[in-house]
Amino acid sequence: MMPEALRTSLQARVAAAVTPREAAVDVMKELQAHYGWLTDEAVGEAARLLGLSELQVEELATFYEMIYRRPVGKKVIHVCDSISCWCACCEEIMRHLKERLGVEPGGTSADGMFTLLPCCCMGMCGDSPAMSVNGTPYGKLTPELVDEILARERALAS
Amino acid sequence: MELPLFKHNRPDRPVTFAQYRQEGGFKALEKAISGMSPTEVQQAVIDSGLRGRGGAGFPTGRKWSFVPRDLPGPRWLICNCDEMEPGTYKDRVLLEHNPYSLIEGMTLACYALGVRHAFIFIRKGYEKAAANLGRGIAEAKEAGLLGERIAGSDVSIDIDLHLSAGRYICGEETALINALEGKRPNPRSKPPFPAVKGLWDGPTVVNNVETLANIPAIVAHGPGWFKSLALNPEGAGSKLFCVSGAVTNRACFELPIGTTLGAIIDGPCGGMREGKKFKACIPGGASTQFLTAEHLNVPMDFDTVAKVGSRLGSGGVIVFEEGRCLVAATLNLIDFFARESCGWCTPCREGLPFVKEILARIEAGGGEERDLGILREHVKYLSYSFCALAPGAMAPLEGLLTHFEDEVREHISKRRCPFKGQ
Amino acid sequence: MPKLIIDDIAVEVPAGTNVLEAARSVGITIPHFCYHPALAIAGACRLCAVKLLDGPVKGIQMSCSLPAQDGMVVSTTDPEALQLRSMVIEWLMINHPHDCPVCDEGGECLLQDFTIAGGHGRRRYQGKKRTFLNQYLGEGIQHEMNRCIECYRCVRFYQDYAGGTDFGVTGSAGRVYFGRFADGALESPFSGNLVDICPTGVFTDKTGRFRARYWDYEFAPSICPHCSVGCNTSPQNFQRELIKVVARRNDQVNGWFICDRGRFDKGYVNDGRRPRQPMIDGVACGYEEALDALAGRISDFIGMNGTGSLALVGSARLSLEGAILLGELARYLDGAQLCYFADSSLSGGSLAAVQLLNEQNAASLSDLEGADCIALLDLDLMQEGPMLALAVRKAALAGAQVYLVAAEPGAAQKDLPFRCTAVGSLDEVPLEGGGQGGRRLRRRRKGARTAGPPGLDRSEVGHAAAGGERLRRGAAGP
Ligand SMILES: Cc1cc2nc3c(=O)[nH]c(=O)nc-3n(C[C@H](O)[C@H](O)[C@H](O)COP(=O)(O)O)c2cc1C
Ligand code: SF4
Ligand code: SF4
Ligand code: FES
Repeated sequence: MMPEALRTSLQARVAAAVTPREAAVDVMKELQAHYGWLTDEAVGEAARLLGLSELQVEELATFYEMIYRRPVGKKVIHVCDSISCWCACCEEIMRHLKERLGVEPGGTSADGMFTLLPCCCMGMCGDSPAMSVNGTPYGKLTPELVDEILARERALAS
Repeated sequence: MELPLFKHNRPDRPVTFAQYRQEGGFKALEKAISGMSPTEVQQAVIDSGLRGRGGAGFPTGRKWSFVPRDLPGPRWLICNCDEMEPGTYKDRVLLEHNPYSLIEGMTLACYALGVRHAFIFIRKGYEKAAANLGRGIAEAKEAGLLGERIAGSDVSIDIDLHLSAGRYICGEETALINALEGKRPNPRSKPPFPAVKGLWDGPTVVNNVETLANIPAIVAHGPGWFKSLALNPEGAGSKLFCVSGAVTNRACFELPIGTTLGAIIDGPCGGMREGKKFKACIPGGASTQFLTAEHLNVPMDFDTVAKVGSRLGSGGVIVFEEGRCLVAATLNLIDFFARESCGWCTPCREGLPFVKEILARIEAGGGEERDLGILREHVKYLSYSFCALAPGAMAPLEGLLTHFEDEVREHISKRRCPFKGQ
Repeated sequence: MPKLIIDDIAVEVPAGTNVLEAARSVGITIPHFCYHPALAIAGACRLCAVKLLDGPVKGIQMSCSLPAQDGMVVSTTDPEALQLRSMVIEWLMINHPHDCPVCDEGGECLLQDFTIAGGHGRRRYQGKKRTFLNQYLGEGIQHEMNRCIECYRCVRFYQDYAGGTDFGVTGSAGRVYFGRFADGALESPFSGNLVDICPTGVFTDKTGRFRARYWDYEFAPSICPHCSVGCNTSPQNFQRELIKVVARRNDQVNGWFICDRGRFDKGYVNDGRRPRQPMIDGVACGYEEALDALAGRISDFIGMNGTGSLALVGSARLSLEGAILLGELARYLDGAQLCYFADSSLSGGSLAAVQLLNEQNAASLSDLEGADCIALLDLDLMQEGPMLALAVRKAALAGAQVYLVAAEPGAAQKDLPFRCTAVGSLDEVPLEGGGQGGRRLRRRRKGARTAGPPGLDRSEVGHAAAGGERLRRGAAGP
C-alpha cells in the first residue's frame, strides 16, 4: 500500500507539472523507491495519479533502463560495461561480482540483498571501471575494493 | 589566458554561490538585463562563433535565430544534460564543480530568446549534479537573479529540473522533447525543427550544458575575447575534453579549441599509461570514427577533425594502446548502440544486432570473407535511419574498416583473435 | 499544385501530397509498411526509399515523409534505393518465424508481397531469432507477436486514431512489444481494425481462422447492416458461409475502418436455424412455388377482406434491398398498410428527419470530420453509430467543440473517445459562433430506427434542423 504522505507528495508533483504526463518519470521513480521495484500495484497507482491507463504507464516504464518491472534485491548493483570501463577490464569486475554473489547478470543473491545488472555508460569513464549500488556511484574498482563495497553496503542495509 | 568554464573550480568541493559571485559570477546577467537588448545578447553569441558542444557543433547563435518571435504561446529552452554517450563525462564534472555558470548561461539564453520557463534534462546517475543545480537555482532565486522580476527588471525566468531514468536516445533533441513531455522517447521527424515546433508544440531551443555554460563569459568579455581563446584561427573558445582509456591521467580538462590531440595526451593526460604505446583513439565519444597515430597533430576543432574523417563530437577522448583488439572494442561499442536503439526504425533496431552478430563471430574466430562486405553495406545503409543514432553507431565501424581492415582480416584468416593467447 | 517527374512520368498532385502517393497516382507502387493513408506519418520502416535525382532535395529519401515539390526528379528504381529496400526486408526477416503456411494472413500479407518485391531471398544472418510470448486479446483477435515487423501501425491506429488506451507498445530497441498490460479482451470497439491494418499476421480474425485462403473467398462490395451509418464492407464468403468481414474503403463514409460489431457480429448469418430454403406451411419447396403460393394467398385475403385490412410489416433492421422491395409491394397493393416500427413515436421522428433532410443540410462523415462545432443530440454514439464517434474524434482532435445534448449524459459520455461538454438543451450550444469566427453546426439526429431512448418528436427535430439552417446561412464556410 502506498503511504498517504507519498500519495500527497506525488499528487502535488503531478499538479505542478505542465501536463500530468511530464511528471510520469518522477512518479515511477518515487514509487519504485518505495516498493523496491515498479510492481503491478505501483503501475496501477502511477496510472491513477497520472490519469493514464496501466498500459500507458507500462509503455514508459519498460522503455527506461533504470525502472525495474521485475523484483530486485534490496540493492541493485549496476556494472558499467561501456567502452571506457571495458578498456579498464570491467569484465573482470563483473566476473568477480558473479562469483561473490553467486548469480549471473539479472540474478539476485540468495539472501535477497543484491541484484546484479550490467548498465550503459555511467559517465564515470575517467574513473573506470565503475559501478553503482542503489544509485551510489563507485569508480576505480578492483576486486578488493568491490569486496569492501559489498561489505559496507551490506552493513548499511542492516 | 584564463579559460571560462573551469576557472571557478575548487579541487575538492563545489564552488559556493558567494565565491562564484565574488569571482564575477552573474555580472554578465546583470549587464545584459540592465544594458543589453535580447537581440544584442543573441548577436554576441552569433559573433562569438560558439558552436554546440553536444556533438553536432551547430552554431549556437544561428540556432537561436531560427526561433520565430511572433508566434503566440510559450517558447522553451531545454538544457541537454543527458550525457550518456560512452566516453563522455564533461557535463557531470562541470556541474559537480560549478552549477552556476550553467544557471547564469541559461538565464541569459532565456533572456535572449524571450523564454519564460526553461528545463534542465538530467540523466539518471547524475543525482549529485542535479542536487548542485537544485541548490544553485534556489540560491539564484533567493538573490533575485532568477524567478520573478530578475534584478529588479520586468524580466521573469524560471528553470526546472527534469530527471530522467536512463536511455541514451533521450539525448537526441527530439526524443528528449518527447521524454520531457512524458511520452515514449522516440525521436520526432524533422522538419519541423524544434526551433519552430518543439516542446508542447512551441518553439524550443535545445542546447548542451557546456554550450550554455559558455554564454556568461561571452556576454561578460565579448565575442572577440571568446574567439581569441582558440589556438586555431577558425576556432572559438575552449573545450572540455574528458579522457579515458590508456593514458596516465584520466580526467576532464578545459583546453583551448584547436589544441592538438597529441598535446592533450602528452600534456594534461601525462602521456600513455605505464609505457604503453598509442594505437588509436576515439576523439569525441562513442559515435565518432577512430583516429590513429598519424592524426596526433590534428587540432581539435570541429572542421579540422571532420577533415580527417572523424568528429570532435562531445570531446570524449578514448585512447587505445597497442595490443588492444579494435574488433573487440568496436563490438563493445556496437553492443551499446544496439541496446540503446529506441526501436523505432528498421535499420537501427535490426541492423545493429546484425552487425553485432558478425563482429562477435569474427572476434570468436568464425568470421568469413563475405562478412566484410556485409559490414560495409551496413555502414552505408544505416545512414538512412530515422535519427542520428544509427549513423553514429556506424562511425567507429567505418573507422575500423578504414584504418584497421588488416586487423579484421587477420581475425578471419587466423580464425581467432590475434591479440588473445593461443 | 506541385509538378514533378517520377520515373520519367510527369506528375501533378495537390499540394501536401507525399511522393509515395504522387507515384501511386500514376500507377507506381512504392513498397511501404509503416505508411498508411489514414495515419500520421511515421517514417519508421524505411522501406519506401526512392532517390531524388534533381530538384530541391537530393539523394535517398523516404517517399512517405517527403512532400511532393516542384521540380523534383524521382527515381523509384534507382539501384541504391532498391538495395536499401532489399536490406530493409532482410533486416525484417531476420526474426520472422517464416511460418507462412500456418498463418491466416498468408495470401493477403503485405510482408509476403513486399518481400518478393524487395528482392531479398537469401539468409545471411547467422544468429538466433528473438521470440515473444503472445497474449490473449479476446474472442475477436488472435495474437502472434513473432510475426511483427514493428511498423507501429497498430498502436498509431489504436491509440492515436481510435483513442484506445489498453493496447500499445512497450519495451525499447529489439524488445519492442505490441500488446496489452496483461492478457484480456481488447476494450476498444474498433479493435478489429488491427486485423486489417497490420501488414503481417500478428493480428488475425479469430472468428474466421484456418478456413480458407484469400483466393478461395467470394467477395462482394457490401454495406454493413448493423447501424444506419452504412459503413462499406467486404464480406468474405466460402462455401456458402460468411467467414470474415473486412472494411472497404469509402472516404465519404467510413474511410478505411469499421467497428467491431460490423466485423465480428455475423453469427446470425451463418446460424443453422436461419431459413435457408423457402417453405410452405413448414414444408420445404422451391422459390417459384413459394412465391406463387404467397401471391395466391395474398390475393385470396384481399378478395375476402380488401387491401385496407392488409399490413406489410418490415423492420428497421431490414436490409435496404429488402426495405425497397417491401415498399414496391405496398405500392403495388394499393391501400395496404406498410410499417417498419412497432412504436409510432419512432416512426414519427424518423419520418420527420427524412422529410427535413436534403442534399444541402445532410452531413457525411467526412463533413463531420471537418466540422468546427458538433452537437450530439440525445444520442449514445457508441451504441447507435460507433464509426460516427471516430469522425467526431477526428474533428475534436483538430480543435472542434463537441457538445452532448442530453438530459442525463452520464453513460453516453463515458466511453466516448473524445472530450465533449454536456449541456441540458440545444439552446446552450453556442451556435452563433462566438469563439473563432463562424462555426458550423452538424446535427446528429438520433437514428430513430434503432432501439434505445424514444425518438425525438417532430418539433424537436425541426428545432434542431432550424438551428443548423441558421448557422449554415450565417457562417463563412471553411
Ligand atoms: C543518439 C543521440 C544522443 C545524443 N545525446 C546527447 C547528449 O547526451 N547531450 C547533448 O548535449 N547532446 C546530445 N545529442 C545531440 C542533441 O541532439 C543536440 O544536437 C544537442 O543537444 C544540441 O545542443 P548543442 O547545439 O548545444 O550542441 C545527441 C544526439 C543523438 C543523435
Ligand atoms: S536510428 Fe531509428 S531506432 Fe535508432 S534510435 Fe534513431 S529512430 Fe530509434
Ligand atoms: S503488430 Fe503488426 S501493425 Fe503492429 S507493429 Fe507489428 S507488424 Fe506493425
Ligand atoms: S513507408 Fe516510408 S518509412 Fe515506412
